[in-house]
Amino acid sequence: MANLPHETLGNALVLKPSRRIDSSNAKAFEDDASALVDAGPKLVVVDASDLDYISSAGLRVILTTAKKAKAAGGGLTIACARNNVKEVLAVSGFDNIFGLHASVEAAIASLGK
Amino acid sequence: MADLESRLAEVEAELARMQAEFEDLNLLYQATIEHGEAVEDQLAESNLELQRTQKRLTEELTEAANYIFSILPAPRQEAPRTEWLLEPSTELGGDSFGYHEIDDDHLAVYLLDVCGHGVGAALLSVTAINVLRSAALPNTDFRDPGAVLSALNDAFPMEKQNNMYFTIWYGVYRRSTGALRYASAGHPASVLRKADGRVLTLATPGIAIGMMPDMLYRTAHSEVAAGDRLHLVSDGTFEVETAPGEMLAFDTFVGRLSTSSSPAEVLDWVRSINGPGPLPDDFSLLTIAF
Repeated sequence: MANLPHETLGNALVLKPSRRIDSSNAKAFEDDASALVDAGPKLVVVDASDLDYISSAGLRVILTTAKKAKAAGGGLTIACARNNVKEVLAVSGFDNIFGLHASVEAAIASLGK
Repeated sequence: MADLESRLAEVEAELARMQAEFEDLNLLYQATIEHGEAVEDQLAESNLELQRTQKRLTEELTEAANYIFSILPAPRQEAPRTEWLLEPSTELGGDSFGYHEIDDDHLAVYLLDVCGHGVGAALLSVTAINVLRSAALPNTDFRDPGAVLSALNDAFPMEKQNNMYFTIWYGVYRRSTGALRYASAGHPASVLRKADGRVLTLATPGIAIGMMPDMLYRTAHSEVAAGDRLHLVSDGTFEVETAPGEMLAFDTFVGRLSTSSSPAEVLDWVRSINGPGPLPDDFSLLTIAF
């Protein structure tokens, strides 16, 4: 998606991808997220409330964004994942590695630790 | 009289001007025709070159696809029997699988899925399968699935594989006891349909191979007996849209899979849900019948 919806809440960057992240828009997500992390907070929350579907291409760019945030001294976590997306995050093991939270606030709090 | 003469002179001059312009236009026309012909020739030559390149590319992709199929093991006719189907979504996919005897009491069974499609993914897929078949990882007990996955993860960090990673399900069946040990990394569960009709899904937590360094993969345990059937799948085996924006649920797929009698039957069913056109991802199904 061009111009990835996002906002800054406190000291965290909250990314709000909409509908899908798949091979058609994963690169755009990666580029947008990368620029945002470069320019702003290194603590990243992926707010998945609007996400209906994430493909393996999508998982990959979440991972590269996480690695970038981590390398910059921050981190990445995920909030409000539901249905298919939640299942994909479980099968892929992303839930354990990045953490899933029920709200953006809880996600931001977890990154502060 | 003078009027007529001067008018005649004007007309003659106008005529001369028009003739000159006509000759110029004629020259321009001729030049345009010639230019058009030259462009047509160039186009014909470019088309021919394009066709030649496409033919070569198709031939090479076919060769590569043949190689991928050639390293898949022949279906086993002795217990445990195997049946399998690999249907790449493009000429070359990232899925591969196999099985081989580690020793006379242990049979290794595995299915992996490299992220993406095409030549790049296929190259990694083939590399990883060859490493497993030839047990080419240092200090690794290939009868211990958790250890195998940890060693694979150390051997294939994505930063050294052009940013590619892969998911895998790896199991080891021990004939003398009927024990089935297994471990999976970011991969869909395998489906074990017991002889009595019960259906179990077997997977372990853990992320895909190559994503993060120093991961510990745990080995899980199950048991199989004569009459049980184990199905290994990849996400392309069942991730199709039932309706715009809605995916086939894994549970629904498991239900259908556990009552199927051949991989081809499952492929037909998944195709009927997907509708016309190619499947979005590689379809892989490996069935072990104990």
